[in-house]
Amino acid sequence: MTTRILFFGQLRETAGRAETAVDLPPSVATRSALIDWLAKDDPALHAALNQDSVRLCIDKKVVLAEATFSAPNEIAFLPPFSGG
Amino acid sequence: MTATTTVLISDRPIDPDRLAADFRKQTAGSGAIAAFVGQTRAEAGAVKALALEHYAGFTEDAIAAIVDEAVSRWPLHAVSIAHRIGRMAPGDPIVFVAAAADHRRAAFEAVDFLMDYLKSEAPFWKQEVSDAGSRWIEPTDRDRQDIRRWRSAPHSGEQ
Repeated sequence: MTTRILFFGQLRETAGRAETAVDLPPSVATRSALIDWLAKDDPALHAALNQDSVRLCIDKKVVLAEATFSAPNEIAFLPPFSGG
Repeated sequence: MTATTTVLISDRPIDPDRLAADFRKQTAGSGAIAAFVGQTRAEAGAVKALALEHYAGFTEDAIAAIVDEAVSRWPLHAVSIAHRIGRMAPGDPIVFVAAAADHRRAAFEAVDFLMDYLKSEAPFWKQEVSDAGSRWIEPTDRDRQDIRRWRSAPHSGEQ
């Protein structure tokens, strides 16, 4: 099953794209495993995604760092917000 | 009491005068309307443009939750929020927030609260473009202080 991965703000620039579609292996079920898997060949992206200030959003719900997930449709990495 | 709430996220220019006029028409029975307009700062000519992005579907829901929170804290008749996304020039309106109530205190405080939340808790990402390049804006210590006021004083309007 395909999962959309979305990058916003400065993470979009670091990733070099706004989104990507992946087939997540079942072993990739936590934030840290996801970041290791997504950025295995990209230390700059790994460091950027791994920041405490970056929130993880699974199917449009922000989840805690230790949350587990299985077969989400959409995962988004959200750097600090700035509106207004 | 049910409040009428409107949230607009627009990649086209917003017109605060028209939004304010529309809001007044729909709140003719309210004794008090407070409205705020945020505009792109030129920062003494250094800033050439501001670019905002959002997360479609998620940002709208997050703002709706903030509006619900305002409606639960103050006796409001109506709330209207319009927020720009996309690329803006200095002087362009970024945000319009209005609240209507029987009395001024609730309207003033609700707009203040909504703006504090929009600054640092609404899912927008803002990039400032200047001659020196571009940089992503993050909430300042001041923004964080501003939002903490509402956590420590949940019902200041009724004190």
